Amino acid sequence: MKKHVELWIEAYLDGELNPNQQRKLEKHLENCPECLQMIAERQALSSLLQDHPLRAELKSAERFTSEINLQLPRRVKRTAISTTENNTPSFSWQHIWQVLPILLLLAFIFIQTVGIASNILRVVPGANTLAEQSANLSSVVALPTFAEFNLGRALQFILDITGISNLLGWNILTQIIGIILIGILYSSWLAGWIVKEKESQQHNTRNAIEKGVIS
Amino acid sequence: MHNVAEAITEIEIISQAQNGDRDAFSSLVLTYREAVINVVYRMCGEAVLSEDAAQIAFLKAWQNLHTYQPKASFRSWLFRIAINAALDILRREKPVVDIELLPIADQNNGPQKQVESRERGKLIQDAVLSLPEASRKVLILREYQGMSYREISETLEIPTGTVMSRLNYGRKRLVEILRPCLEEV
Repeated sequence: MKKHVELWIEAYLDGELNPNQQRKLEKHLENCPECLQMIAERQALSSLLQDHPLRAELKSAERFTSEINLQLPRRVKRTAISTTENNTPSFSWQHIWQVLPILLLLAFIFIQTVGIASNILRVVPGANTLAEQSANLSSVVALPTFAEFNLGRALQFILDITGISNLLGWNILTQIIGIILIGILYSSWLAGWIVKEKESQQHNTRNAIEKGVIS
Repeated sequence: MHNVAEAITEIEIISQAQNGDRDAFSSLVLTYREAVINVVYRMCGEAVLSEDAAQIAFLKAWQNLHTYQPKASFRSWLFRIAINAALDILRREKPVVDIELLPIADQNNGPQKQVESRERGKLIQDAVLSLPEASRKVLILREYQGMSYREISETLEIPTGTVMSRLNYGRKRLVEILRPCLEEV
């Protein structure tokens, strides 16, 4: 018997032939006793296999399930709440931690810029310091006046209140101290980041080992 | 409609289990326990071993539940794990059945009508065990679980044509081995 006919007969008995193939095979079977014999054998085999189910004393379903439950390793619950927390941007210490190095860098650039500007002004003959310049801002630049509101005076007031006018009058010592402080802050952040990364790696390694041991 | 509702419920249960809900996983164990034990038993040939292998299969399913995608059938995914667990335990615990040692009826005396049902069951199981692994897997999923060729193909990750040819080979071998028993059917 041809191989493909055998396969078709198997598929026919398993209900896997499409209607067209089924019609063709049934037409073939009308004139092929060999194929009919094969069908009879396959049907008898299926009946024999089905007539002898598993006969054994097994544990009860509850016992089986509870034994599995006892052996289940702990898994971290991925809940909807934690997912929301990860997706929703909110102000948290995590954000401060990530933004801190950028802030320190900006502070460093500010201090350096102010320091350099102050030093330049000192060496320019006849020039005033930045502090003196800021105090005379309104006389240096013609700032607009709106209904008795003097922009120059307003600027001076803001500089005094925020303490920036004191900064603008600083000297080289102030600059050095500022840079050292920024250096200390940045080093502390870097140390904290390294420790955090190591803890994270150890946690991942522990999880991988658990999976590897059981499987 | 009922099947669709059941499928949606099962997807929800699986999702809960994937989130670490042990009760949801226990529900899946209860649902598939018998089928998994049956598959594993047919692969192993021994009831006690089959229960152990079935438990191992469920434990592996729990560990790897995060890899299951709802687009595939959960039954297929679970049976794949069960078959591998059965093969692992079989290789560790039992030798391959030698077809020459099977207590086949003396064909010179014609078919034996007095063979006990239990002995016949053992004979059939040994015959199934004697098949090559590749054919045995396909035959068990088709004959004992009623899976379609497409489902078997998905479970074992083989083409449908291969399913057909392995099934054909397995059935031919069984017919040869069990011919005296077939004549009594």
